[in-house]
Amino acid sequence: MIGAQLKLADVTVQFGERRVLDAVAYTFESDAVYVVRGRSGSGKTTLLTVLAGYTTPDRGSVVAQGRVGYLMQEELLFSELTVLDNLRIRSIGTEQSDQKILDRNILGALATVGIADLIDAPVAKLSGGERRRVELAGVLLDQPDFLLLDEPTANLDRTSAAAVYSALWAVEADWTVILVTHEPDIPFVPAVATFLELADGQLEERAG
Amino acid sequence: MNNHLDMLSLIPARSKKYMRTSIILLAGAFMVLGAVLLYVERGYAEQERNFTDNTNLLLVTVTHRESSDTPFESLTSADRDSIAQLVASSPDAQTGSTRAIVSNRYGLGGGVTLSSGDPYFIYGIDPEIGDLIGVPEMQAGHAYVISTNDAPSAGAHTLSIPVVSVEPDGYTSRDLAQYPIVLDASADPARVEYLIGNDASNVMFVSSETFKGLASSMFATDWNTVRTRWEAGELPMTPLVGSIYVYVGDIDDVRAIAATLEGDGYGTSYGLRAFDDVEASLRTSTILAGVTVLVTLGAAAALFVLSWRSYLALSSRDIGILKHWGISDGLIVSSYSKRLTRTCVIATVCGMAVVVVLAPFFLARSLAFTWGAVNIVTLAVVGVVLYQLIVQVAIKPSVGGEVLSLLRENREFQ
Repeated sequence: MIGAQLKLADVTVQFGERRVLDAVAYTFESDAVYVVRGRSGSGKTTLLTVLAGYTTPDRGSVVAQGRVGYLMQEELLFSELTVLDNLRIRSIGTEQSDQKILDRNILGALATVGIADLIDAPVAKLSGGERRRVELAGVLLDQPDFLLLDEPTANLDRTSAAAVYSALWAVEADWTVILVTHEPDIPFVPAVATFLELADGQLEERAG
Repeated sequence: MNNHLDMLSLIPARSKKYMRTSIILLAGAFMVLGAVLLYVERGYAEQERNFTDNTNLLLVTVTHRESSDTPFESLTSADRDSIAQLVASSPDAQTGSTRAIVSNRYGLGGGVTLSSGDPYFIYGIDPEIGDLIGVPEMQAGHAYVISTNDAPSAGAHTLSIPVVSVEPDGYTSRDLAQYPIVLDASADPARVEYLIGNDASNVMFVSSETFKGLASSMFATDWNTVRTRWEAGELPMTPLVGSIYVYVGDIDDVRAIAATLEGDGYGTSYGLRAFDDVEASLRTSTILAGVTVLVTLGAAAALFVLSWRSYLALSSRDIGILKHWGISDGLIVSSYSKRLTRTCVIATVCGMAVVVVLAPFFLARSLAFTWGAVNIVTLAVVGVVLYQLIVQVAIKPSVGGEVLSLLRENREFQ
């Protein structure tokens, strides 16, 4: 979507006495890559849930012009079902209703993240990295303008993490990526990426 | 939409074991409910039958006359006409099939024996009240005794009747008159004992007309003379008109008719007096039956609701994932409702099967079909109500939760 924008307007989120986001004002532009860093517990996940609309700010507002896709930190798949069944169910929420087109889209999304050959495999049989890429393929099916990623390689070994990032950067050209991570080194990160630091409730740009 | 539902049904179907338990629980509850309905209905039907089918409860026995001068005055044959007029003018005995029937109960003892040698006390009643001894169609010339194993053989017999002459110092009898009768051992022992309030083994019932013939033979004169002499007090040891029966057509009218008779100076007794209040008793039975059914139903409903709430609490993560994937609440509710429908249908059919199988054993044939059908409809209604209850109090609130809460709830629950 041309001109898509995700804007935080003086957003404050408070849990009890603790102010996690303190009058944060920031605009995420389209077709860009943002890497948000911060210590554990600094409010990175809260920032994404606010952007995704799952957490309502105590003060301020979020203006979303465009579709938002959100890959949560925890794995959200039905492990008893196959990859195809998971993605078919996931695609019920999309605007596409033609099953043939949907299946073609699913295969395309899986190919994009490099696991098209696993389409009929039960999710329970997949490795952690493969499961993460299945989720990523699911998010891609929604064709979001903004892709929110919360620690996408948490609990993965280096090889699996590299595979996930490789798949991610292969698709980022089409969407705005907002990646939240506590990792200091991210493989293959694009040179154009904007690095942000979340600390003491404030979101500020930092040099990569 | 249907394709979506088919796909979504994969999610609730993952908890097959849990759902199987839920189906078994609800099916068990419906089967118990079906059996309880039948059990309660049987109890109610029995009690109702005790009141409405017990013909003796429809009987008012007039035993004597009372006045301020004479507290106990024997009945005469004229009293029958007087009572018949009273009853006929009572609005409680006038409507259609509830017409009351008035009959003398004649009595004759004094050594009457059957050809078998057994002595009998003879009662005479009008054939119209033959129901009271279990013989709806009494015939002239027939004598009815109770049906027991040692009853005399049915068929033609002869009654030996002492021919009595009244002397100043008492009765004398030198001859026996032979009176042919046809013996019929079809009288109901319970009804006869209730009617005469005594042992029924040496009692014989005949129609009023046959009785008049027997009495004429005993006193060697015509019936009108017998009656006139008895009413003049010339036959002091003979309880010729012992009582007058008023056989009321409707149990609701018994008290009113008895009150009418008592208001005119007649002493009465009636079985219904022993029951404090028929309606109150039936009402109590109805309330008890209702409470029993409601408790069973409430327990089944509570069990089922709890079972589904637990199931949905366990499924909250699944619901959270589906919502996170952008699937509408309506579609998620439909997918769980589809599973609920299956559970309710299976359970209801199990309950209905119990009703169909047990109804003939619990209820009389005349009631089994009607009440069985009513129970089947009742179970279907209960199934629909339970379905709606679960959708409204369990599924919709569960699906309506926030995505993050649903994903966290599951962990907390586990």
